[in-house]
Amino acid sequence: MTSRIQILEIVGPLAVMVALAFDIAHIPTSRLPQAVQGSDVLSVVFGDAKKVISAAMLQKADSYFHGGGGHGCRSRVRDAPP
Amino acid sequence: MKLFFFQCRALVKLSLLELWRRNDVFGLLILALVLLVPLAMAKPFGSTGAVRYMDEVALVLMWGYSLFIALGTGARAFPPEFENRTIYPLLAKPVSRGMFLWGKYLVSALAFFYMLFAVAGGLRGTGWFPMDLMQAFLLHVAFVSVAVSVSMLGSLILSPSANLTLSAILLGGMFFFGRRLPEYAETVGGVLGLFVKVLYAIAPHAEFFDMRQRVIHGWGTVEFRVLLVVLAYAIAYTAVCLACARLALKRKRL
Repeated sequence: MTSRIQILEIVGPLAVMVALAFDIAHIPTSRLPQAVQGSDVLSVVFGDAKKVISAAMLQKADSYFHGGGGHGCRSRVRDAPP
Repeated sequence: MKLFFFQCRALVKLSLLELWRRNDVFGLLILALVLLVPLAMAKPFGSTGAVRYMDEVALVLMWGYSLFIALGTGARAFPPEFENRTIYPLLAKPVSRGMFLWGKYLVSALAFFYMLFAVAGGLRGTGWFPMDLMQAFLLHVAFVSVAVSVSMLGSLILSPSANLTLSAILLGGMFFFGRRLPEYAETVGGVLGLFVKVLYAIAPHAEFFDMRQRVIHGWGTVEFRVLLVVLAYAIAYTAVCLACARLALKRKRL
């Protein structure tokens, strides 16, 4: 009996919490506390870091695609092991 | 009811004394005074608009401090009691495990940074307690209560280092990317989309409580209905975490 009550104590608020989370997801951005996204200092810093990391990842993927050499870098492709 | 109040008061007093003994309070005050007051008082180039940048940095620091202090305080509420075996005399008194949990939680959820920010803003001449700042304070307290409950639950089922790391990643990740999860779930679809939706449903939404941009640029207050929904979410999330923590503490072998 006690364990049933304990489970109800968890499941009840959990249902309310999930319903509220999905309700908040449907509220327009301009009416939420976080009115805009991606315009504060942290977003700028992380946005720049994301751009640098994305560019580096793209270059890395390109080098894998071209057998270890960069795109348009013939000498490195020639030197790369078969 | 009276007994409940007295027991709660005794536990809160005990935990506050513990915080005082560990000099955590002084650390908080020194950090806040050294960083926030100069930031809030400065007027670069005599321009009031440029001060918003300072305000933003101050608020970012406040959010960062409060997150890590809340996680640390919540995570340290129980393990030292188990290690030092002081849990036995505590529970030997007529105090249940649930009451013990609640007392610890109350102390850990204290947040006072916004008061300092308000005082600094008032000294600078931007008004003492504007309505948007009051709302931001309420939402920040709600965020701290969610963060403390998450780390408190983690401290009962994980090791301290794993708990701190996981809680910080969860709350930090949701703070930055939480708002994009529903769109992402719709885009990817399938099993991954379902997984993202489940994650969205159960993860702690730190981004719901972030009112920094509104306070900094004076965009006005949040609608009362939205504020209530967000606060209700915080209460429900805290209740789930504390109920799970209570179950974990009851089943824990001391």
